[in-house]
Amino acid sequence: MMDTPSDGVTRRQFLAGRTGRNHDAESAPEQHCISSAVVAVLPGREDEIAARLAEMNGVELSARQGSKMVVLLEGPSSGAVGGLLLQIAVMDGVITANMVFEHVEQEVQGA
Amino acid sequence: MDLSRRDLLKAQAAAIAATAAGIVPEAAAQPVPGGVSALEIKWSKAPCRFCGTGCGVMVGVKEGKVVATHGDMQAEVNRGLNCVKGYFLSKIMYGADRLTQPLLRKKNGVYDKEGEFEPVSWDEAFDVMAEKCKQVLKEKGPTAVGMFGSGQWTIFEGYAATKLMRAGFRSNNLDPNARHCMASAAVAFMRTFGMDEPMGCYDDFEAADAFVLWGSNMAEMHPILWTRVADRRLGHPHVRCAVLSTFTHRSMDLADIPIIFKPGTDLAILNYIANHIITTGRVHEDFVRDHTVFVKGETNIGYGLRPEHPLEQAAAGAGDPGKTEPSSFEEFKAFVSEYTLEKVSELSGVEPGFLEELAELYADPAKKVMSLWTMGFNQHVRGVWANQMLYNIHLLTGKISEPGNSPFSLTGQPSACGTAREVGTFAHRLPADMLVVNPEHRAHAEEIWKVPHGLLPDKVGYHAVQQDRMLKDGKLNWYWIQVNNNLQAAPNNDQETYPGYRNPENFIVVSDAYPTITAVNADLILPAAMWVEKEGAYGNAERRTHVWHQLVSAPGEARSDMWQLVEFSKRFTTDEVWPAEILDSNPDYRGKSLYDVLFRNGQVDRFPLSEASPEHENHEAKHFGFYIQKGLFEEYASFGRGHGHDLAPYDMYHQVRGLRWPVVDGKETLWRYREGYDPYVKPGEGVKFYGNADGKAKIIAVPYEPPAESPDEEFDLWLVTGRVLEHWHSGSMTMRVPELYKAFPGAVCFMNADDARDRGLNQGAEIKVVSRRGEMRTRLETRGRNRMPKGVVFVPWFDASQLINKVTLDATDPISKQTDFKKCAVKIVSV
Repeated sequence: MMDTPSDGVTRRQFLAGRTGRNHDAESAPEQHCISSAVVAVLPGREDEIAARLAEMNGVELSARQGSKMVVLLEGPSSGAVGGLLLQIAVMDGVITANMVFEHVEQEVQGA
Repeated sequence: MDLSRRDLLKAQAAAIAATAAGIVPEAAAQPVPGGVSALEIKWSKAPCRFCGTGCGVMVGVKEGKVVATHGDMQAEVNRGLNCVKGYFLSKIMYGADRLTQPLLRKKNGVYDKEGEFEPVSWDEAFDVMAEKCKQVLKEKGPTAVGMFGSGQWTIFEGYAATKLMRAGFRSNNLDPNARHCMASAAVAFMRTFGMDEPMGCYDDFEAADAFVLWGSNMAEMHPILWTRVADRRLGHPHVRCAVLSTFTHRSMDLADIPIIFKPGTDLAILNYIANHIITTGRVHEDFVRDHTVFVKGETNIGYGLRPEHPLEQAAAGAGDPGKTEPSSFEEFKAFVSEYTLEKVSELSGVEPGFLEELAELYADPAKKVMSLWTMGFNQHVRGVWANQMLYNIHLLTGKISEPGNSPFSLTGQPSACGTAREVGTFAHRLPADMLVVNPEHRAHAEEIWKVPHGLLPDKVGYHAVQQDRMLKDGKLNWYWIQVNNNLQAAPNNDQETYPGYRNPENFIVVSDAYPTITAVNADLILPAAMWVEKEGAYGNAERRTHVWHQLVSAPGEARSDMWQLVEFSKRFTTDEVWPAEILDSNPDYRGKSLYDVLFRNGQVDRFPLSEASPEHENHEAKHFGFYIQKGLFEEYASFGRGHGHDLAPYDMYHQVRGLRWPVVDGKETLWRYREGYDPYVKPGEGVKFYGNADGKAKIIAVPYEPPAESPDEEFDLWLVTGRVLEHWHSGSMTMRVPELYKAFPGAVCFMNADDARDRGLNQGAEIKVVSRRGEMRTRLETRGRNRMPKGVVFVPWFDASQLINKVTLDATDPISKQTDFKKCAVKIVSV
């Protein structure tokens, strides 16, 4: 059988690089991230998708034209913001969701 | 954050996104992140590390670390957009388990194949590696050493590898993982047009009236290009989109003509379309007369299995599967006339109405059609045929080599085109589409490389699947794997790949950034620098060559693959690896190292260190003492200049967001083979497929032939494997990005709900996918993004802990030698 490591980490964790550190919560200093994404949705589903986006924490619909939407994404880390983009990208009725702008600000006074 | 500042940033974010979306017609400003740390971040351009789209990204570096990436507004490919994988680019280099020093299996202080990995110095690693290589060369000759490379190699790395393997070790056992990816496309381009790679480019997206996806889920695998399709389709009501697949996936959402066909029957559908075009009188007769010739292909060509397999024994045409003979339009017409609507509808399981609508997209002379395909076409036991049958349709209607009329093969790796194909790292190729079996081509390569005449080996080396078989059989004994994870990627890996790695006769070296399953089963692991940890060059799917600077340093002792190849060459002298007769005739080469003859040949070393960017680190240039990347590139470029593969001067690529070759007089070429667009087509010639001596493309008559293995009573389901949006290929990078891992943490088996119910299985049940080769344990998914028809299951292959390739079949297209990962028979059992 194919070799696996034997340092207490499971084979699955090792092979997937999840040795305990990769997937821990981010240890970066406190941040605030603002990003924007362009979302294309299926014609006829615009209102439904807009409503679902509005329900998501950290997501704000900024502009709409036809089946295209501009959304603003905010979160405490770039990973959190990327996670929002992922959720939108695989949402039923969404054709594509791509990031455009990214800003990461180190918090100096708290948000 | 201060509220007014936050509002300002949000307004800026919204404005830039709106511009990118085309909602607000205002000039694009590069999104420069601000805040207290803004001035400390240095932004530089690079192509994305993932798929073959070749998006431009801006890479932000702070304190020696990549801290952010965003879409490059100046990049024509993606115009500021960044897909979800691209968004997380900044994290791929910082997995906690990056390899930072060489690791050798040892027992009692010395190398032992049964030993445990221990850290060693580069010197010790290369000493053992060179000793093993020399031993194998001495005992068995050049056919017993081999290398498995990658479409993720930079152009320099692939070029250094091809020089070292062919001119250094005199072995053509060099193949890239691109063999698994687009060998069928590459071979079909050569067989049809005499030149590799698409004639069109991404500008076709904005000019087409119809898009047809043949076995491609662009929505997940090429999201940025899918955005361009979606923009065109949704912004122009007349535009139509047809999607062909063996199951319903996210790209079907946009399909006006959704077609789910029985696996393998796309061949019959293609011949039906040709028949429809002919019988409805829509052949572009002038184009066909002036620019095409007809040929007939060999049939019953087998399935690329081991020769003793009954299917190969029964295949009368397996001896020369690529053979063709001259034919005519009348013969072609008679050949495809058998592919009637009724017959093909029954065979494929597709409604006749959908087939007619699809055929009409191509037949209607007023519609410009862009055909797009990836693995559904290429990973196919008749993949070369499928590619060529599609060209048949575009050639019969003259819908080719002009804006919007474009048969377009997409690629999955960032430099599958630039390195695997253009540099020529396949077992049968040399740079610029030249072939190892052609004595003139070898002589030309020897001349450019300044090595003795007669040095280069003339036999085609082992292709990817054959390498695994030869490792297992003990005929290939020294094997170096770079930038790929073949133990996870290869078909039937438990039976045909793994045994070769652990064969006591073999020495296996893996260069990688992370401890992949391939690495941990090797004998020596070499830590690799990745992406912007080195200066690099990639070539994307639209012939765009894109160069970047080293932006950060690799961790620990990790070194680029190019450094590894060139540094390793120092350990061999010509006397050790070249035949005595070659040295007797060329005594000047005696006693020189391979480094001297291959890389200090007055060409690769002709650009001084001072020509490298003073603003960027360049580890390799400093180490070797000259601007080695430029030297390798310029020597390589001399193969193609003046021969239709012209590349611009190297320095120009640092200034632009890539250029599409041929680049002649500083101008890139968007559409090849057509006067007015392609500088190689002279005034008055109109269209000229100049890759072939007669200037004509080939239309081929080949039939539908069934897959290698189909479901039967015991193994009653089709298995299709593939990818998902969140993960790239074997997941060695994306599984180390926490957010991507969490979004899709493990493989599942997508199955039709009725099929599951019939077997008494519930959503989420633990199951085994079992074939004649092996089994894989996973969970059942009857919902989700992929909706399976009855009789077909889909399993992604990104998950190293659930190896679906234990189950797949190592059948290949007999012409391209590319594996069919889309069609084998399995059963599903509960656990």
